[in-house]
Amino acid sequence: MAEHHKDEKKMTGLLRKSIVPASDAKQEGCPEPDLLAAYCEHSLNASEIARVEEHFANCSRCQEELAAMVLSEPPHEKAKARQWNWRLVPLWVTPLAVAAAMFALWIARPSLENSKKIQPPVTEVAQMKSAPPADAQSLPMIGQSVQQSPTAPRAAPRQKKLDRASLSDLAKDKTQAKKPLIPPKSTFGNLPAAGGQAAGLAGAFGGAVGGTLSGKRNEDETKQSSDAPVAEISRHAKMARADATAARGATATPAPAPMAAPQATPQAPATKEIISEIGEKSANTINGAPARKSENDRMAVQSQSVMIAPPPQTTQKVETRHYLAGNHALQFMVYSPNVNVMWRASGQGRIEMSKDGGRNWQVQFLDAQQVLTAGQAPSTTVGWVVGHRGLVLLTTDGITWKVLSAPTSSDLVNVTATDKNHAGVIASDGSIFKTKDGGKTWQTK
Amino acid sequence: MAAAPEMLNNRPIQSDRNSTTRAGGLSGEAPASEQPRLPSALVKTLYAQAVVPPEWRLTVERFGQALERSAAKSQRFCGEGTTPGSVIAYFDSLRLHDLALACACSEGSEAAWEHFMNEYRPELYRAARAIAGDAQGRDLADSLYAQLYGLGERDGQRRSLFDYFYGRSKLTTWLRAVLAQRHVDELRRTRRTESLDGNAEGDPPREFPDPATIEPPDSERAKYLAILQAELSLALSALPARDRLRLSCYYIQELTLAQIGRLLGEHEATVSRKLDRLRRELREQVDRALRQKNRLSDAQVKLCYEYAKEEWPFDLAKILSSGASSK
Repeated sequence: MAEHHKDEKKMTGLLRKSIVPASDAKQEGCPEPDLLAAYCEHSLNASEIARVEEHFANCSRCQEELAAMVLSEPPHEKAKARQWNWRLVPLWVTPLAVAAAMFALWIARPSLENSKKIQPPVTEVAQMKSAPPADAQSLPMIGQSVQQSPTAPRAAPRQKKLDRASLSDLAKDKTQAKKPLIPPKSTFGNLPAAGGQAAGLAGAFGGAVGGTLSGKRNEDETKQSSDAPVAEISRHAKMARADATAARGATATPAPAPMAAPQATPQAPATKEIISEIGEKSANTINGAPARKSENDRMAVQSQSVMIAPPPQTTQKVETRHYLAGNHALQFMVYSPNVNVMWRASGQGRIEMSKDGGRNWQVQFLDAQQVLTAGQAPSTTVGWVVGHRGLVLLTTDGITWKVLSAPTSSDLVNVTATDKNHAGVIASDGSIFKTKDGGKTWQTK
Repeated sequence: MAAAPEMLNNRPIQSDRNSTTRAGGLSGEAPASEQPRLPSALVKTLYAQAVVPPEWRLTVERFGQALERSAAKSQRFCGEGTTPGSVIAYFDSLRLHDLALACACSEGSEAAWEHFMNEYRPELYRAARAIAGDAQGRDLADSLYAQLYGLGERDGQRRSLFDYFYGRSKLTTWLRAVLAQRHVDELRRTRRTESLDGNAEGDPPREFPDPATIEPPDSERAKYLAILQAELSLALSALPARDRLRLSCYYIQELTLAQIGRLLGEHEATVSRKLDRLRRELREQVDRALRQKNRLSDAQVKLCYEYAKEEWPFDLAKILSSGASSK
């Protein structure tokens, strides 16, 4: 063993001296800066990578350039790479994903019952009538009303603190500029809002998991930085929890609580949307593979996100992210349990697959007539994707997609699947269909 | 700086004024006008996706030309047959917003320039300082501005460095690549001049003992080292390009495992593991070659490594340079 180790050391010494730059003379055909940059961003395709690497291996000039590229990386990309390392450890991810799922389910369950009573979102004018102006000054008023309640003395100070914190946090969020009324109210103690947040958590569970993970690690640091979505999501998760507790406490007091609850009730869907968006942002930074393929970031930044928050899921095997690319194509990602295997589906009936962490994509399904909305992949070979007009697609080999019999003629908005036989789909009208035989027959609830 | 003439040579000329007479570059590149025009609907969609602020005054046509240029460049490089799917996938992968900004800046839009200066200037200086050090970084970055702005005129047209941005990466990464390339070229030029000036009498004698003092006592030593070096070079040259790149990054550029990992898109641990494997395999291969091809005994093989260990820093460099010159 010691001998072997000695040999290894010798070899290291030899290599250090014998790997010399192939030639100092200027090489012909060095890749131009655009290819060098694309190589460093890992956005070249396989054949291009092979070609440039063949050149790089023999060209000292390019090697020096690559070294200079690495040395000049922006600090945040290095940090991103570190977070990516965390995500690579599957041992951390799996139990936490399950924990997050269970937590989300626990929070969301009462809200599901309440959600039947939720009225469709009212117009802003109506909201203005029903609620006092939700600006910074008016916020503590509702907090105070909780505080005045003699039966909930403990919950009150904490609630007030959270309100302020959440207001300042949300003020940093870009989405708040568009919907100034929504976020402050959504943080008040009421079950539907908390449920909405929980549903958002379930939707972006990857982000939520990472959020709780690293949020705990460096909560204090991240509190100060406004551009830390990790902290955002963990704080929102906390708020959801605290709000739920506060609201439970508040329901015991007859006077102020019922007043606060109905005001905020119609906001639940909007909350869901915002939280999903926050979750999505954090997923962008935490989830290594897609974050590296930062075209997702780009599109998410450039276009306004459209959120379809999936229902609480029992098996957190997949994360679906949606965004509106430009004006038309609704795109979403479907991640398999293996970080390298993922699908990218666009609303215009295109499904592409990547087996190398999003570096290269292969088109697997193309039907421009179809509009795809959501997907889930319980394994690396099994994937379910649903779309408008009852479209259900299934792959059982990870390559070919089969159109299954439509459970309904209305648009499907989400799908949850545990394997190639068992899946449930949700239509835009709220009906749920389940199959136990890979889509041959569907049962409605 | 050396990159500029190179790039100018195969630059497809794009200009609003004479889009009909796009005459192609000076080298053999196909003129852009020979490329199939992109469908205007596709260009409009991509333009919409690029989210171009109206104040940049970037026309759809001009953006379309940039897209065509980018696609033409990519096809030329890949040399692959293109299918509609691959073209769409290609445009999907482009940084459209950055491409639009580069286009607008190249066109001389003031609003776009202002945006560029506000958003990219700090990053440009930071990267330049990281590459060339605090003292020279500023000069490096400043030298880029003139070319980005397109001060150099040729054939009566203003040419901007932005025309070489094809949207395949983020604009910041591309700027870093340009900086890196210039800095490295400058360094290499300085090195060449220095070696011409300073080393007229050959290798610097300060480190290496006089060959005469080494070789007579043990002429076998040089022989064994030469054999070892030859076998090692052979084994190295048989490696896949990626592995050679990995070794070069580690041993020549002296990057850390984490940096190599980021460069190659691998985890740090993977890089470490693969380097270990490479070392082991090379060692086995060289051992085998020494024993079988060169018919050295175990003792002689051991001697080879012993000599290498003792003399490597001195002798091998000499052997290498003599080996290189004799080839």
